[in-house]
Amino acid sequence: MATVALSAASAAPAASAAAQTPPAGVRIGLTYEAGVRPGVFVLPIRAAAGDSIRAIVQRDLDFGDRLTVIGGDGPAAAGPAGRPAQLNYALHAALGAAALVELVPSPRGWRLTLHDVARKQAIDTREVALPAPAFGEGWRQAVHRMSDDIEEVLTGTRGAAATRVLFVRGRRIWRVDSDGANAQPVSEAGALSPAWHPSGTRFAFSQFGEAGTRIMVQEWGGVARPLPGTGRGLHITPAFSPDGRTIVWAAGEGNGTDLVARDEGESGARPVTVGRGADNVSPTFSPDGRRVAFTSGRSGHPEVYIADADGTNAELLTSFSFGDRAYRSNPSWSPDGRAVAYQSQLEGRFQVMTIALRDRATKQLTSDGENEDPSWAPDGRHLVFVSTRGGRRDLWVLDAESGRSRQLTSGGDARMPAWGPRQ
Amino acid sequence: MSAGPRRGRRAALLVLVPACAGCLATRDDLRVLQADIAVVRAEQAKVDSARARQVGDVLAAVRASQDSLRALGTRVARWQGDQKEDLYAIQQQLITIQELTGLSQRRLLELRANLEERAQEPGAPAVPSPSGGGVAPPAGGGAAAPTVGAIPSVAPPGAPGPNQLLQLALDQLRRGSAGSARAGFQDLVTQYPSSDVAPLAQFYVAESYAQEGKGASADSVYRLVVARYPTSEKAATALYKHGLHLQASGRKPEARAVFADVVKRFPRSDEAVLAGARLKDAP
Repeated sequence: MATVALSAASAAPAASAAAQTPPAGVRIGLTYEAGVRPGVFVLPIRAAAGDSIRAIVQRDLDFGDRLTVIGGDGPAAAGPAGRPAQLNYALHAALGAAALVELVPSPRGWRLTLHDVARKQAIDTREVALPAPAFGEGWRQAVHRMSDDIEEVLTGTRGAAATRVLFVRGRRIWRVDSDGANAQPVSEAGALSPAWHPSGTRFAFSQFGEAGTRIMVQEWGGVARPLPGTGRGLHITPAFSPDGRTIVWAAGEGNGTDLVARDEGESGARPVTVGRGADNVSPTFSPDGRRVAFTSGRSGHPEVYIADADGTNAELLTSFSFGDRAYRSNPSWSPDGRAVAYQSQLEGRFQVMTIALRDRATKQLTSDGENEDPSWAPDGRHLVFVSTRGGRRDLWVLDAESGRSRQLTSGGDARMPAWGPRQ
Repeated sequence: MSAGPRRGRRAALLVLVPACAGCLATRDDLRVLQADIAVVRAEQAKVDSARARQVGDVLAAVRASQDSLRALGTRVARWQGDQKEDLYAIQQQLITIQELTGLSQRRLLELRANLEERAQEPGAPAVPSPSGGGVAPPAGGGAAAPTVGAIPSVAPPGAPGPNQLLQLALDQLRRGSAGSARAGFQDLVTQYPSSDVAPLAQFYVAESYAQEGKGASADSVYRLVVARYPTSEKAATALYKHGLHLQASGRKPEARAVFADVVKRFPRSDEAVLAGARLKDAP
């Protein structure tokens, strides 16, 4: 795993430091302590829209759950050009900051500098351009990307701030930024089951029509076009392969539904599952595109299965006991490929769970209210899901490692979230 | 008036009356005629009404037959529906049983692996391998066919048994360590060639290559699985995978032949359905 370019040990007690006297010589390396969230302080920005940029970056870093954002204006004193006259590393260290984020206007936009408080020096400097107009969608996404840059430099793992979530509300597809801003409808009525193309440039969904449901594909800013061959019968729950060249969905005309796949440039769809009358829906690809997890009723009631993307080697993934009436469904394969999140009925209520691919160990992630339809963020750490814990069906985001959660949407009636790729 | 003309008129009348007797009917004649006509009409009406009754009877009979047929059709349709529903339910139960059997087999494998592991603990009595694992490979490089229920043998003390090897290697494969997993599967095939999990191990050797993106190597091992273990549970999958490799390599006629072979040799398998669809897609 990538490491933190910070010396969190600077905040450790002096006695401990004295007890562990480092050997003589030069040591090159980075220190990372699992479970520790290094403190980071975003210096006040003395420029137009500076307060907004600082607030967005602070919020993004906080939502990333890998850093502890230290609030307040801090001890920095503004210099004549808007830059702190001299960074007081010792005082920031005393406040618990392991890193400082400094943003100042530059001829090409903004100059972002990250400081290592323990080493009392800058560790990364880069120029960032924020597109006009300020506070527009593109501008906000650029600020989110800057937050992801900061998180990547400081923790070794890129954040997921510059991402968006699609969901269904009032039979239309909606889109919302990862921090809950800019929620807006993006499709016509009668739409369900949104799915992102890995490029982030388009999305697919199923739409109800007079002849049945069909799969539609829509470019951002364009019109939705039906996927050929999905005019009649039932066509639902589409999913793109990680390379974006194959789309898989559930299709059925008589008894049951089967997953079918259509490769780019091919005219017809080929079967992926052989359900023999059972329902097979909600496909999700493994990150390498070789396998597919899906919900199938072939064992008598819905359970999560995995199979090779060519349809072979289908096997039951979730635990199943004969006579068990509770069921498990709606899988979402984690971006690191190690686990599958799904919803499971526990005492009559759905809860979000994960199952490890390696040893099939399960982990319950939610317990408050009813929680369902999980979808992984591209950082492989956060999940968006539908929850009734606030009284209405809204989207919530959960940090799968710490269990910390936050509300993403308000207004209720939110369903079927799909977390998109990095923009 | 003179007697001469009077006699002439009387004579003419006498001549005319007989002459017109055939043309001029009397009232009686007309009445008789009318009665005759009425009789004929009555008879005709009688015949018509009888025919109408007959037609009505026939129509009623036809309607009754239609009703009977309709009722019979409904009963047949219902019976067919019931049968279809029963068959569907039976099919679903069979699928459920298949799934449970598969699950049980996996759990059985894990159980066997646990038993073998316990047997290797110090002081534990030797546990015969239920999968018929042999200690020494047969002469000829271990190309023996699987023998389910073969003579039980004992794994040498301290050495992992076939099920244990399979579980360990599968764990490696799931973890993404394809190379380590392959070494484990190959050990199993070499050390326990007559074990009933040897075909599975051979198949997973191919899967480990596929996981590494080595399509040609994987394909050669898939073919080996079909050749060595043609009746094993993974033979259909291996043959279908071979067809997919040919198709991806642009050797479409050969791929078609392999898909047709899958349909012919393993008609009840899922791979037969998948191969059939491939045959339809690329005629």
